Amino acid sequence: MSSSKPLTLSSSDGEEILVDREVAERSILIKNMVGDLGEEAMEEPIPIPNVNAAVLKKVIEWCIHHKHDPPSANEDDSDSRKKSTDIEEWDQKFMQVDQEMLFEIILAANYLDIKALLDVGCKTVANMIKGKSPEEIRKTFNIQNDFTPEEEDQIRRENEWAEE
Amino acid sequence: MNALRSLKDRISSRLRRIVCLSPPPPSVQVQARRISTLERLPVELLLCIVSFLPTSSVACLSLTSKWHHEALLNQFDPKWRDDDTEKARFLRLLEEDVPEMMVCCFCNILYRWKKSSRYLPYRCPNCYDYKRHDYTSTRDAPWCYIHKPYIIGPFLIYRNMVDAFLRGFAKGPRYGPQLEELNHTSKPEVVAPFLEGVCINKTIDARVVKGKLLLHSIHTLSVSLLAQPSSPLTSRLDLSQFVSDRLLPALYKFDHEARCSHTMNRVGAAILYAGRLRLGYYGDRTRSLDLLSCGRCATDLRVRVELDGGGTHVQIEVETWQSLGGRDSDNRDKAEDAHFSYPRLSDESFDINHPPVRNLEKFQRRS
Repeated sequence: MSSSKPLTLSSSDGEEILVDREVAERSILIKNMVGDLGEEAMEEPIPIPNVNAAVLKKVIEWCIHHKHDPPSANEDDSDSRKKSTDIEEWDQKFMQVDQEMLFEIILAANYLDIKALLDVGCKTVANMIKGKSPEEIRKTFNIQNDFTPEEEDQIRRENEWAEE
Repeated sequence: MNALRSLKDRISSRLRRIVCLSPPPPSVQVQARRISTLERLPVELLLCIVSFLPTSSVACLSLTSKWHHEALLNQFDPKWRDDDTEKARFLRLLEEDVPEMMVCCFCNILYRWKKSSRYLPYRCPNCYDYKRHDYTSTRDAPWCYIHKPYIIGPFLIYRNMVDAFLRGFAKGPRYGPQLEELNHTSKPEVVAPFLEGVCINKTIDARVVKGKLLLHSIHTLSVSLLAQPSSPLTSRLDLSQFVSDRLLPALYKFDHEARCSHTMNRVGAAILYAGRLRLGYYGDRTRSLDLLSCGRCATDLRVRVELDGGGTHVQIEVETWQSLGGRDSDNRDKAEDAHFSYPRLSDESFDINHPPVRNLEKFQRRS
């Protein structure tokens, strides 16, 4: 339990959620805001206008579980990060939500600048794409195929994927 | 009190400013015109997802819609100039959506498997282009001696054909030929009409076990010991006459059929050896050489020689089990590739005393 005062986050739909500063500061956005404002930030609810309460609670749940993780290095494009789509068991279970929620979590993680959560979300989606044909991907994500059969055939021939 | 209110106002105003400076999520802007959850993401997040994908999957995603095609155009080389493995993976995924086409494992293109020649069914149109098809690994393996259209030599099976049958088995008749085309029984009069007193029969049973195509064949050769086979009243041939006039010519033909690519002339020798055991000595009615394994390819054989019909016929049975391997390279081994590889290696010795450790009969029974 953190000894510091908790922060109040205000979701886009007006719900106020109390959260330990240590937990909230998994978000670089919030960390920078608090750093900018100093201790005064504890007095006022911090508005999170792009994230609704349901998603924000989910994000906070993730941050609580990962509050003791070492801060992620500036790993922007390291090969190891790129290549591995392994997700630890707890995170896998955490991401077992409907697609709408999954994408909201990704958007929230991006907005709140929580790199590790963004990676987990993107890896989850990547695993849903991996090993699927274009048609299977369309079905998974409800994507409408706006290519005509002629255009598809042309792409195959132009790129020398199929016999002439 | 006023000072405190002023501080609160200042904090609120700074917070609002910081929040407003943060870019609004682009998803909000595109939400109205696109339906798919994936298409609702801003491009930078799509690229973040894509960074965790192999290029084969990136290419598949790029083909889902025009929007993805444009967004991902620069994320991979569509000609796959430096990555044949990923190209092969991509085409294997792509072929799932085009049942009439399948991937050639040699030249990595999609071809129309039904369109190929009647005489060379399911074969890639580039099969004779040795710049695209590695000559050393595109050999044909014997399959069935009498199967049309070849009357004088064994009908052949090759890698494209194995892949086509495996695909047809896994996905159904729209995607590839069915195993029934491989399963058949040859009629004796069709097989060996040229020698009086000789009947050759053959049954092939094709199965898929653990993604591998297995052929189980039983070749039966029946050679009469009677001087005039058509009349039961005539006297018997003496043993040396039987061997030279009837058994050896029959075995010559039989040897071409009941074998793999590497055991030409060896199966005949094994039959003669088993026959000598039986015909030269008293003892059990049946003599057999159990599970001979080709040292080169995944073929196991069992030879049985038996006196039948009250001693009027020699019945020879050669049972073969062949594993032609799976479609994926990680579901194939060297012995399975050897069915289709040059050099033929038929001149190298076939050491029946040190067979490879395998039992294809047992493996096939698992199905």
